Amino acid sequence: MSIGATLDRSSVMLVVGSGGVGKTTTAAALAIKAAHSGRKAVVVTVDPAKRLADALGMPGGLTAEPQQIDLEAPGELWALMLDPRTTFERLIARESAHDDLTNEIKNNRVYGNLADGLSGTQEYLATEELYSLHQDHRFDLVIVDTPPSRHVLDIVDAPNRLVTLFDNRVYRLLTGRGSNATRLVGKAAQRMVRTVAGVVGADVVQDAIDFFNVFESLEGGFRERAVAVNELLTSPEASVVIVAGPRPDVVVTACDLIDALQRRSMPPDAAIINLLHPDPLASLADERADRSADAAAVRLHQRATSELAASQPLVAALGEVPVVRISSLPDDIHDADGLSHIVACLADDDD
Amino acid sequence: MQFVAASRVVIVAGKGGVGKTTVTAAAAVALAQSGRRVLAVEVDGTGALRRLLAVPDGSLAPLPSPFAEDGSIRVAAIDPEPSLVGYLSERGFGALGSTLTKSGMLHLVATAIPGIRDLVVLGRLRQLAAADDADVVLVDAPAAGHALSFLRTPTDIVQTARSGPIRQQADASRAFIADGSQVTVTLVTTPQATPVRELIETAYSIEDELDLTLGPVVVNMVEPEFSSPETPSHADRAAEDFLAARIAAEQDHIVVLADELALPRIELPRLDGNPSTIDHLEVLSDRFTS
Repeated sequence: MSIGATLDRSSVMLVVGSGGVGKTTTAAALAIKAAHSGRKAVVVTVDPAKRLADALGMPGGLTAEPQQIDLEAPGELWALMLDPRTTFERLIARESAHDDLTNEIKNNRVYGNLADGLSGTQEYLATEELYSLHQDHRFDLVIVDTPPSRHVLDIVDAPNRLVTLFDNRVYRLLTGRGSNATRLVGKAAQRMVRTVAGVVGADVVQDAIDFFNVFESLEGGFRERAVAVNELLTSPEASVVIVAGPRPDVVVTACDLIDALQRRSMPPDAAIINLLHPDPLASLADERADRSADAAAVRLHQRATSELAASQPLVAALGEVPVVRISSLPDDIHDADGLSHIVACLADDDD
Repeated sequence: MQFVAASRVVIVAGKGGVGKTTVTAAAAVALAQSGRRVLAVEVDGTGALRRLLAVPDGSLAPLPSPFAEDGSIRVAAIDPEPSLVGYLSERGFGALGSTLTKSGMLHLVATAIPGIRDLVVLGRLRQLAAADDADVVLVDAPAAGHALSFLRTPTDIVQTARSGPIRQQADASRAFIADGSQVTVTLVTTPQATPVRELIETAYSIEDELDLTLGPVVVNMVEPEFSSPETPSHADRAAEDFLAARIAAEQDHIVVLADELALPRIELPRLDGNPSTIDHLEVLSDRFTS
């Protein structure tokens, strides 16, 4: 299936890959392409890069609310920037029964740390945002530019991680919800909690206990949501696009990613290899022979050749998965012209 | 040499994909060639720096790199996960460390105090720098989406933990990295619009919010000049146009960097081929000394 066909059949699309390979611009270009074929597409970026906003013709920058972008297309293009705090607060307001509870959570320092986007929270909130946009009738395709993280799959694992935390024995003990049997085991654990308090400071432990106690009443909602997000991400209407560049280290990461995605029943639907240099001497062996090594054409030929070799393991790992190759421009992509270059490369792939 | 004049510990930071690890390795080679004993430290557990300097990645302890025959480059690794347990055991909480790991409490602590792993890594780094007799300690900062998160950790934790050993640890780490005579931060970028813009913003945050000292900025992968054949063909002209446009665009971005940041700059050429060879690292390391 071509990238165009993948876009046509998807209602959510995750754009994954390591940093520095043009993931954000690629996600934006995919949304533009979808709008060209009549979809109402919304792209969620985590990258506050003002230049992307400029390239999309939004000099005021992207906001946490979806904004429609002027585009001559049968469909629509919308964009927003993930703002962890806004998403988290909306989430808590939705799950809390009353305002006091919402405020109690918001004033807790542990919540403050979580909401400021540390420690996997951003990934969790990206999936949360994805889910609520998916249910928003203004859009029929949600494209998510995944957060740059130390472990690229954090985003896929994020909904489960919160549930794992709820199931944690110590967490259950802290919030006083263990059965009698676990309470007995808990005596030892409680001593441990005191020791931990000695190390990290009693106030930190108290804050954590308070936070999780308040959070407990929201647990059911979070569990349901985590299950729903998981179902959506593994359903046929979801797709995953890997973005990579033709460098050995990037290719190694991308191959690991393919492996991990397959294990989670979310095999990639398409791959995009960005930043491939043009090869002016591809078929001109004679000219290659009598040029010096630092002639422009020879340098580009060598670069293109080694890029091809570097991306080979990725192409092999992808098997039948379609690969779109995007050629490198002299300047990096940070404006409307650059974006339309990617859109054009994506369109060529459909011919 | 300008690169090391400022401090004994140099933290090499930058966003993912700019070649931080290559820059760290090349700097290590440059320093060794100018007669210094270097300890290069990897903190992200990926083994990338150890691979680049041809050191086996089975061990965390400092091992000599074959790239300096006299053993003047050693590479150590700090693994964040065992460090937390190790940190506890050194402070008489040995049993606690393993219970934490087994019970999953470690996860809970990490959730309550995000960044605690970074803090432990910084603590280890401080110990390592104090105990080792290297002239220069080069640190390849973790490849976070943003260069700041690792450096910001002690400041963040000071706001969470009001008392206890973690607070003391955060204060000590903060004092360590903020001592400009001991530690400087070298930021790495590529000569492109978005990375340059991000580097400038990061540099301001590091100086204004975190009050750390910046060393020179490294601009990595700068397109070198090219030569022209006497009778250029159509293919030559197309290639020259492409590279000339790239060089012009890169220079524009470098001018922006120079205008906005009054820091010394080291430019490293873009080299084609495999960076994990000593030849490649030597070409780059020459730029640190020249």
